[in-house]
Amino acid sequence: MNDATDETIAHRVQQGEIDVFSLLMERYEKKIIRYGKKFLSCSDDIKDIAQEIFAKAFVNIRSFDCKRKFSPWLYRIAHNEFVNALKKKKSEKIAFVDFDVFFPHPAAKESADGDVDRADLRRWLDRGLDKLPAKYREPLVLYYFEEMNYREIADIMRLPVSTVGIRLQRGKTLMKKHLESKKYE
Amino acid sequence: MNENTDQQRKTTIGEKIIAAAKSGKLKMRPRWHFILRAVLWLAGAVIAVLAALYFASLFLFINRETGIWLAPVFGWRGVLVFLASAPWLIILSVLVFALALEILVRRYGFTYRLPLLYSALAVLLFVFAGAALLVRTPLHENLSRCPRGDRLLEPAHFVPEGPPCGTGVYRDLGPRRFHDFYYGTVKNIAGADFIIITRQREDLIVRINSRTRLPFGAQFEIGDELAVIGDRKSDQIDAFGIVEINR
Repeated sequence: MNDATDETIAHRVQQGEIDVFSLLMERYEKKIIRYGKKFLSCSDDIKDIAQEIFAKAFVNIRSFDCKRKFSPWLYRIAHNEFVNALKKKKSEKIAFVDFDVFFPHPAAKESADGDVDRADLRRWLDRGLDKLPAKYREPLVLYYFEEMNYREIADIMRLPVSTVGIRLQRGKTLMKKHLESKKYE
Repeated sequence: MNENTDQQRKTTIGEKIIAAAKSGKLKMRPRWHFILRAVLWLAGAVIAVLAALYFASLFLFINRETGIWLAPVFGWRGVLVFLASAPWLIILSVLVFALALEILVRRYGFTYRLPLLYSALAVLLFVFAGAALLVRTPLHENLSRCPRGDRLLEPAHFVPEGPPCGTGVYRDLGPRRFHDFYYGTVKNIAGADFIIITRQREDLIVRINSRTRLPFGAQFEIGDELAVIGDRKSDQIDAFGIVEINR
């Protein structure tokens, strides 16, 4: 059973095998907590939010289409919960209207960072991710830490694919500026 | 120590969820719940499509019937007449339902993966292309026939059959007064002037002078549908511009 795909396990849960849901939780708990910690830039209440995410995933598991990939579906639930948590925090403003989604960004194609680049970038991002606005932080976390592609990130955040690209680009630029300014301080 | 805490937490979250599920505190929603939600969503989208198509085709129908869209050919005055007389409530209705449609379809991957501009343009294109087809059907013609009490191409000597009946926008279509804008059928031609009969069964004398703009010529015949811009005094219009409504 441990070799079974997420989708197979989800299908069995849908059929009423409640116990196998623990396998999905085992696979994703650390990832979801890491995603939450980096996206929310704090570790308070992450455990409670993660519990809420898995509870919602269980309640709504029959809405999951087993022909699709399980992880973006679960991350979508997590995204909603984390955004709600951010709204509750009120320390960070989330814009109601974001003009990034209005217009196409033809230059923002998916980049082909190598594995080494990604590992370096992860270390680099870890140094100042919390200084970025949430809208740039989230795609960076999903792309570099959760290893999602543009389309999966677009599905999780319900954004145009080109907007994902432009946010990653801008996020990295902001990060660079932040780290450079820190160097001169 | 940290690993132990992690392990403890993992067990706690997992165990809590499974225990709650087994005790019945946490219940999986049945499949029909999601099917019903999808059906309701789809029904909302269908209603928004139909409403947007109806209002957009009504907008095109009014433009075609009244020729108000031709007003801008008379220059700035025509543009102002158009702005003052355009059916804004209907235009607003089209936009509201198109927006509702955009919101409803935006939950699907084929729209949210595209920039909002593209999907909004696609929705508007779809609505107006559909409306252009719908306006070719006799739908609005049939719906407006009763309230108007006549037919657009009836002979000019047609005798009205009493007050308009019907409801809503079609009732307004008949007695509607556009600002400085008149339309009707040529009933009689007398030298340079002629008489038009409006849909309200009103005879109006149209006076042409040297300043009258005739962008598509002045070869009018009895029975022609005309749109006239000009100042009205009693039953006479001092024509600023005249154009034949092409049908």
